[in-house]
Amino acid sequence: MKIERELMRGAGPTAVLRLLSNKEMYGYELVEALSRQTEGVLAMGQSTLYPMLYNLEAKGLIEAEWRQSESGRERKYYALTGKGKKRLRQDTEAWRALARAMAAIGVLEPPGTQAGVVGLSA
Amino acid sequence: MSETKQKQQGRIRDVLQTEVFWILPWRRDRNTWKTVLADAGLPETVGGRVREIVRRTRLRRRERLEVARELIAHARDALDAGVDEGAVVDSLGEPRLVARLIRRAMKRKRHWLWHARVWVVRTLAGTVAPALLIAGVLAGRIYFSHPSPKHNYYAELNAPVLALDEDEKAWPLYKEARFEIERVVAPVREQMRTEAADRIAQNEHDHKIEVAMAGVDLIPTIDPAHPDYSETVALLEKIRPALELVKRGAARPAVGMLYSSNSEPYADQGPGWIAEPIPEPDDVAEQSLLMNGLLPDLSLIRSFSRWLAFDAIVAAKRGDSGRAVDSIRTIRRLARQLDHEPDLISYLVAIAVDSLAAVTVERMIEAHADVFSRDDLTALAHEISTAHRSVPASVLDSERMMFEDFLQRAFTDDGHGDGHITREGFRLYGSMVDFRTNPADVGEVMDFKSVSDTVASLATLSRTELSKASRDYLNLVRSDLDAGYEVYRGRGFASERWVESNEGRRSLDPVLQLIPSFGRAIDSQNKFLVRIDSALAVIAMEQYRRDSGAWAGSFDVLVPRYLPLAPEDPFTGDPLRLKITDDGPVIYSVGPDRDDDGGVSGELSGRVEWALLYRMLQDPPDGDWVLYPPSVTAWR
Repeated sequence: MKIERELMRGAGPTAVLRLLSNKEMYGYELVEALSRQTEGVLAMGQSTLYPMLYNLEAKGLIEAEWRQSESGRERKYYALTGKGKKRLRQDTEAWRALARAMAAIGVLEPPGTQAGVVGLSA
Repeated sequence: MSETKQKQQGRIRDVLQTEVFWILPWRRDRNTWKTVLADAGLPETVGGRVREIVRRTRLRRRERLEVARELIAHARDALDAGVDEGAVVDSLGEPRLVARLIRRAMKRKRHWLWHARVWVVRTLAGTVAPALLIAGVLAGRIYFSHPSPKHNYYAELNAPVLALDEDEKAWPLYKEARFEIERVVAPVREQMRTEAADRIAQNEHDHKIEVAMAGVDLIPTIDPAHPDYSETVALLEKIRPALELVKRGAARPAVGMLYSSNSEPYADQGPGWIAEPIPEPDDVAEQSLLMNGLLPDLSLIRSFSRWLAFDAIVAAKRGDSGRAVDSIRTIRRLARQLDHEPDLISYLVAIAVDSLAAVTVERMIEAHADVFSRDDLTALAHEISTAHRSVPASVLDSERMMFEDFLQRAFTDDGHGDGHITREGFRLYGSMVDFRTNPADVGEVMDFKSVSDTVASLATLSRTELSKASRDYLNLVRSDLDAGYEVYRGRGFASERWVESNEGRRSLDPVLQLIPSFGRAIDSQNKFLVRIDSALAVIAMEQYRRDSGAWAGSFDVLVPRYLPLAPEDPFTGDPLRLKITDDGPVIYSVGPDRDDDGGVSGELSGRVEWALLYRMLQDPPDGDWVLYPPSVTAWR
């Protein structure tokens, strides 16, 4: 399923922050995780991912560091900052409120009756 | 290395990689994004797409390297995971759009110094650039346009002179008279200067030195007790033929001198140099500014009037009342001839000459009253009473013409009386204040800020705006003149208030610099009226004394037989004060402090003739303005 750009613009950063809240990740890893865990709903290419990461970095929500992976390849790892953790808490609250509102008017199934909000995990 | 230490080093690196430290050679990465891409070994389709994206970002070298490394790592991870080349290329996105998004995001990451610089540059561009643009348009408009003067104000002012017959003009006789006086006086003046210089070197100081160093003219010494009196009388006898020429000239209708800025020496040789005005060119554009016109007759008339006043005093002392009255009549005629002159300075000289006549009459009556018959006194009263009691309208008209002439030579003409300043206009103004050649000199004659404010006003105001400002100002001056003594009694000066108001200041800068100040003129006019009324009162007192055998105790007994009205005190509106002493009557005004000090000058002594009365009102000195007997300063 293809998500409208505006929806993606709102959901993408929160999803990325959520993924990074568990562990440091590099770009391709993030793309894979998003695609896999959201069943392709939040799948994004490099064209969307990297501008988003640079913006989050500019806002101080994440920080990056070039490191050599176990395979010997150099990768840029992204990690959540303290500011990023705070933002993630705020965004999560906002999304939950939104989901409740959408359920109340019948756009989403009430929690417990179906999958509800997709949970993201590493 | 601990995580904290790594982060600290990372921050230091970030700072070092900002704009400020770009010149440091060791902070530059030797790898370029192109070499990194070439070494990555990506398939051509993928590498080509990465290359195009990175190239299109137009970021800095270091930033492009960063983006290239990240995209390469991503592509390799995807290829290693079994994604086919086409899908990898597709995931990279449309190069132009992706490059723009990356560029925008990377710029947000830049150091705050860079953002500050962008903000400053944009702010400057938003404010300075429009200002420069406006200034450029204004400068271009000024530089490439020219005035086109059309109105021949010289012809207008000189028309009455050109209509006179030669035998109606006094000017030819005045030049001759001046020439004759200088022939006698110049050697004496030269000798006085030499002696004065020697005596000044010996730290001496007296009236003779003062006169000698005054330079231009000899001031006749009227006090018979003065050691120079006899010497001055001897000089008077020598210049008597010249004074006869003056009397003949004064009997003619007008001075008849051409108003012009051009002149040639009246005589090639001789002790006194006299400027002979010659006509301006017929072409208005070739003419000089109207306000540059020369007035060589003024110094002559001032000099003649002093000698004639001295002649009157000497004649009275000798009992020759006829000659004394004749000399006073001649002084009054000299003043009347100046009525036809086209400017304020001429009018101020005219009232100074009239005042001299009034004070001389007072001096003669004070010292030699019995010399004058009843008819003589009546004749003197007649001469004094016919003096102007208000500034002629022509004076203000000619000042307006002079300003309009400046406008027509400085501004463009759109055919409807409007226009803007030109390069020639600024040059003209510059030549008038002479600040181009030596800015340091400006401060001595004129506040530099007022010059710069005037330049700004000239650049931004239109010709009609300035013309209107000059008319408004002159109308207020007219109302101040018409108000008479009321200006000292709470009304104040409407023209001064307008000058001081913020609303009027900007447009008035050029007006006030190019039109002479009328504050002093109004004050001089009022002082002149007081002096005239005082002189008439003195004559009336003397007539009353002869009829009744005693001095009048008040002006009331003189009205209306000897005086039409009691003379008015300018500060109170009440009659001037009269006090009878053993030496005779004392006539005085209570002065700016409005307090009757019994006819004692006090702090006002010797100051009234030179100081501005309306300025004195702000911090009035103690004392009365004693009009009769007249002081020495009043006579000069």
